[in-house]
Amino acid sequence: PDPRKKVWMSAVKGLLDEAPAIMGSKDAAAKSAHATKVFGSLAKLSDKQAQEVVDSLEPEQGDILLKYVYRGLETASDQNPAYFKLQAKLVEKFGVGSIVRVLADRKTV
Amino acid sequence: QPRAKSGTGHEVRRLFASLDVQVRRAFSALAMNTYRPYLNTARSTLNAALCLRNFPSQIVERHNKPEVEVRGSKELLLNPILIARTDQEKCLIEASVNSVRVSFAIKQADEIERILTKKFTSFLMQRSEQFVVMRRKPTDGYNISFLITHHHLETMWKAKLLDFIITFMEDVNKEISAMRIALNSRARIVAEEFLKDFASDK
Repeated sequence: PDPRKKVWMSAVKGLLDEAPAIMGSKDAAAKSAHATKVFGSLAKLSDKQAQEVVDSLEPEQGDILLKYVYRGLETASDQNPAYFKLQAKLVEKFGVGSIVRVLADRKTV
Repeated sequence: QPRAKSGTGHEVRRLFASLDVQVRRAFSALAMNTYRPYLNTARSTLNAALCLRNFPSQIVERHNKPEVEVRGSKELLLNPILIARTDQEKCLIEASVNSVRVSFAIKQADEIERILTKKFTSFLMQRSEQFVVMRRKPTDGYNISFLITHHHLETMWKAKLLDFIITFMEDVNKEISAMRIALNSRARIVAEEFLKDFASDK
């Protein structure tokens, strides 16, 4: 296993941990800057690594990642097929409730 | 002596009918592979959004309106979710406490498909009472919209309703692709037959 590749997995987790502060603020520019970072590190993950990341997440982190996935799906890009898979994996692990929390949470990503 | 016009009747119809079915089957098999994940995501999101309950209007006494259409009170509306497969093909799910509005934008590659989509969707939307959950006018920027209220969920099974919407969108896409292919193959065959007369005369 390439040690360098582990960097992106922990990068994603680090960004998810920083997210609650950004979600609480109303600064749209900060939110989109952070979102771009998340999308960038998600793009570096392969399918298997994405699965590993999803398996190792806590429920709150899973919710936050799902919010970013939906934000990513708003714009058409080459990443979208990967986001569809990621959404399916997240919902499989965390259940329908995680989508309901994306819909209902006032603190958006 | 004038040559009898050949092939303008049954022969042509048989020709393009067989071509149509084969091409249609091949095309739909191809389209499904890239289309499935998008529909699955839309389906699971819609499954979560369709948690509706009766909620009489807070503003007008004894009235019961779909809050997603009224958009009066912010606390009754949920965050809208947009799932874009490509620039043109996307699905917008707006949910509220007692109703959900789902809007689809269909992929239209060229002018012919734009005309076909417009005619086909307006045909469907004129008959939206038959479809119960369909909206008479699509939301801005989309081709077709559905409005599902708690009344519908009280009388119909949620899983079946979801199945209906997803297979409906698949079928609309298939129909439009098939119509375009039929149109093109018909035009080609008619042109061929017409020009054959000219060729054999000379």
